[in-house]
Amino acid sequence: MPVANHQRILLRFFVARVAMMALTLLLVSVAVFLLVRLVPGDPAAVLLGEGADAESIAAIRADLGLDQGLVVQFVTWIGHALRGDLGYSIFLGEPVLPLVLQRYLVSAPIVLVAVILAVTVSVPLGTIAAWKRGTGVDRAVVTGSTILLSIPAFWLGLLLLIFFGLQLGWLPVVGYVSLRNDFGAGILYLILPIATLFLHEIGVLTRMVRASTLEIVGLDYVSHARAKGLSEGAVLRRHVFRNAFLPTWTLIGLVLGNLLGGIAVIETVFTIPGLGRLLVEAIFARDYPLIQGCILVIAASYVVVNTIIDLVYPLLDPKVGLQ
Amino acid sequence: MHTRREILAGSLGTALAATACSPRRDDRSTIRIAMTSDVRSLMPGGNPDSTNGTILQHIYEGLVAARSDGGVELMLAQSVERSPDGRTYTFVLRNGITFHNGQPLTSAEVVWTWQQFMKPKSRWPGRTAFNGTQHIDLTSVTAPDPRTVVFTLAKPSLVFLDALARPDLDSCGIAHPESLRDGRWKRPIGTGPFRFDNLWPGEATELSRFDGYQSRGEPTDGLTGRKTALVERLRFVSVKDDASASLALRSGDVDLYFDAGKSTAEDLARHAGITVVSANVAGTYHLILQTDDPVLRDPRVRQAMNLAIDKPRMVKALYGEYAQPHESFVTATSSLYTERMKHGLGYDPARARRLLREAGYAGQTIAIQTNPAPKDYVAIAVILQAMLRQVGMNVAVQAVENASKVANFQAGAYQATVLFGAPNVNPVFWFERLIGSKAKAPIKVWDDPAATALLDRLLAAGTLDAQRAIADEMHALWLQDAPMLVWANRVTVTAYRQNLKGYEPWAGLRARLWNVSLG
Repeated sequence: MPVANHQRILLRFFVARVAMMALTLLLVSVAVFLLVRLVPGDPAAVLLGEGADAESIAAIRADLGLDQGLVVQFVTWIGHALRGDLGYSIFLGEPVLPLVLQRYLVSAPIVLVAVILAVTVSVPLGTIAAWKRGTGVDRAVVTGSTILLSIPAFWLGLLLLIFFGLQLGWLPVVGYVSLRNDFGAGILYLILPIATLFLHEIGVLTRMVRASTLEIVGLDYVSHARAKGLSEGAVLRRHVFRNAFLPTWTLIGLVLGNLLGGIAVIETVFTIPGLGRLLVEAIFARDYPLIQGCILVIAASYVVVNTIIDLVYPLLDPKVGLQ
Repeated sequence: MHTRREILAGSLGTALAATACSPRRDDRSTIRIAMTSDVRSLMPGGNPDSTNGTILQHIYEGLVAARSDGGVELMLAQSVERSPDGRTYTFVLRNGITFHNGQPLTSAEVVWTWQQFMKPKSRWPGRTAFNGTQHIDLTSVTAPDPRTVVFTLAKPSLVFLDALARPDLDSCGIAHPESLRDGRWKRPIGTGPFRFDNLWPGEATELSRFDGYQSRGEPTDGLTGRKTALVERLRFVSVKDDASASLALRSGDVDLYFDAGKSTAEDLARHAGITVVSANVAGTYHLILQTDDPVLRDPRVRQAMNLAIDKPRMVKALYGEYAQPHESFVTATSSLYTERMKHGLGYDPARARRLLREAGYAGQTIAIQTNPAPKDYVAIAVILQAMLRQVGMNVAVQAVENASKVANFQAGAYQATVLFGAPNVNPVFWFERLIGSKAKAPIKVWDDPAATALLDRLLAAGTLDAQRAIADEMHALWLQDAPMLVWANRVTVTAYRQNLKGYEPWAGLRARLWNVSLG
């Protein structure tokens, strides 16, 4: 394929992806805007407490613009959002965008490190298990990954807290120190949440890698490669791994997208001031601007991660074009 | 001979232990308190939540403050005088009081603070307590000279000082105008024993000792009297998860777990080095019944529900030894609590069945609204359901999220709801919240003109004896109307490490950390 033509296809792919991303975010924003208002409960009522009278609630609703029609509210909000202004949190009184990004920057490193570590461990582990199918190694890997997969993340987190925080006293049980303020202390507070996510994701990814690899090793071209006299290592590297990794690559995108906005449970157990906890608190408080801001950022990161995954696909498998 | 791996593991362990443990085990200058929620407002009384109040009551002080029994004592005021017509209260401020920023307290800051409180844009939850919506209609706050402040009311009120002292409004604490930046409460500056240092949202709030604090000399009682900051710092850590908070207390990461639940406290009490204390709080555990509901409109049905509940058994199941059965809407901590209030409708399932038959109850469903967290809220609804079913009532449990439950309550859209508000050390404000016309305000619980008349008499009563006599009459009427089902006085259970000295729970619920030290 000529280079100019290839670049044109690549550009078209990018434009299409960005347009799709913008459309997805618009649809998400409409859905979130409507859904949070369908849920019973009122931010003004939560703000004033259960003893508040109707007059005070109405005054605050008017102050927050909640007495306007839904269309007016949405147009106002989306107009500001397009200029990068997601409004102010009703409860915290802070601008939403910096607040959300600040919390995102707490959650994202935990997720990224945990997933990178999990991929680093689970890919060789799953591949070896499939390659040694039916042996003790395979049984050990399958059992281990099933156990890790079956333990709820919050329970695993608590077990780690009990062992490393309480019994051994090596790591702090609660609290958080920003890496920017004190890198050394900050790392200590991140070890257990990262370890919890890492162990949990190993279970998911190892099983996926093993299943994909098993599918590939049974194919004719693998037998043919062996028949040609290639060593086992060469067959694994050249003919099995690349093809078997594709479904795992897709799964990594989904896992990353999910975790970047959804580790509220881990954050709650380890008292990490991350995005997931902020979103849960915003939902409980019916803090509409904050809920919308959190979900928009989560959706954006999900779309970006999966776009990157799609872009890398042709590099892993030339059969997959940039259609 | 140790292998390389063993040496490496040992070194890592030692290094981690040294870096992670030294600040939490050797630091005797900071009390770390696990709180279940975050700070939501830095304005005095800006949020009725007990975490918010716990933190702000160490920063701000009001002109007056509340005792544990709901009585009022002077705090920032040296004296107060009520005019003969009962409409004007003149306060003279104490000499030598300074704010945390070093500025002296004058009447100008009192006037400024009250201007903030009463501005509708401020969204101050206490505004309706002073703007004539309820009993008190504050018309002006003026400063004739730097040490004198005059509050003028549209009509006389005997409970104005009590309202100023309300702990749920952080004693209407006086703030310095520099607390506000860009129109927002960013850096609270008060006159209390601790000053605000830092707030890391979702993480922690830190206060430090205010060396310029001028304590009163009277004995400590509630939020009144002597307050001495015995430690350099207070660090309020936001720990949402109960299990994490327990582990943090046991490991020494926090020194005090405020308002831990009963089962957590029981578990913590079994561990060496942990002390568990409890106290009655100025509130009740109750089920609110919708007296406008077609099924519950008949007071005999509501009385039957009260009679169907075996309160001692329920209290034992829910709160163990920490709480006692209680059947009055007047709390056991209040100065209005009398001998008569120790007696309620009691437990009489046979009479309950008879009353239901007389009322023509034919098995219609009664839904109890509750919320899934905290977990004892569901347990309450399930126990009530089981006991009410034993007398033939058809009861369903609806577990809805808290904000939805509150919204339903405020709209009157419920049959029965498990909902406890902020404690009121002065029961008059609790009565004000309960009593009134549902047509005007759906949040009112007890809609009976006779109760309203008794409340009016109570608000005008000049002596404690007169108030008690009226409260007795209210209790008798309460038993007939039965708009709520009360089974216990509310309690607070707090666990702390044994090196913490001087901590005492109290009727106002919010943790007090003045006069508390680390041994």
